[in-house]
Amino acid sequence: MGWPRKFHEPLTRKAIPSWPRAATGGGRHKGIQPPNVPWDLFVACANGDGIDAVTFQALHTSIDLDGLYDLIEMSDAAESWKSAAIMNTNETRGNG
Amino acid sequence: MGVIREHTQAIDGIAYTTQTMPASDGLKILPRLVALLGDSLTGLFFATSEEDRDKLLENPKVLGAMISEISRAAAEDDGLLVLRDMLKSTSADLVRVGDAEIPASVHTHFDQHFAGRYRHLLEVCLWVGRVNFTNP
Repeated sequence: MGWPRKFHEPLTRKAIPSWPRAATGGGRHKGIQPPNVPWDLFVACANGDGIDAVTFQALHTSIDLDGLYDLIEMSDAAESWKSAAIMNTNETRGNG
Repeated sequence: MGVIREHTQAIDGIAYTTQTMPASDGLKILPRLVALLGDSLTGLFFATSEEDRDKLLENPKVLGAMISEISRAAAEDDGLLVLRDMLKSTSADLVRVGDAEIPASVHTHFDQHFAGRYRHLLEVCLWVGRVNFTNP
C-alpha cells in the first residue's frame, strides 16, 4: 500500500505535478489543465490516449480516497518505468 | 482501504454505521474540513488514537483552541455544514425522530438528532473523519 499516509496528505500531495510538462515534451507550449475536474481525478483517469470512463465512474461510486491515491501512485510508477526504459535504451546506444 | 467499505462504532451507547466516501466526495469534503478546523488541529485530532483523543478533548486549552478555530471558520461561511455533509452515508440504531428513537440516517435527521449534543456530534464526526481520511 505504499508509504504511510497522514491525514492532510491528500490535500498537499500532488503525486505527479510535472506530468503535463513531461507529456508535452517540456517546451514552451502547454496544454490546458481541466478547470472543472479535480486534478487528482483527472490524473487517475487519464491513460495517455484518453480518459478511462470506467475508472471515473468507480471513483464516484466504489473507490475511496485512499484507492484514488493508490491509482495515482501506480500510474506514476508505470510512467517512471517507461521513462527509465527510454533512458536506458539511449544510454545503451551511447546517446546518454 | 481503497474501496468503499462499511464501518461500525458505538459512541455514547449509540451504534453508528458509516460507509467510506467515494473518492470524488472525499475530495470535496476534505478541503472544507481542514478549512473549518485548521490544518494543525485536523491533523492532531484525526491522527491521534482514540484514547489519547479523549484526553485531548478533556484539556481545556485544546478544547478552547478547537472552539476558537471552528467559530472563526463558521463566521466566515457555512463552514459548520461540512459536519452534516460528511455524515451523508452514516446511520445509527437510535436516532431521534420526533419523540422516538429509531434506526435511521443521521444525515436526514441531523438537526433533531444532534440538537444540544454538540460534543457527541464532534465525536461522531471525528470517527467518520478517521475512517475516511486516515490509514491506520
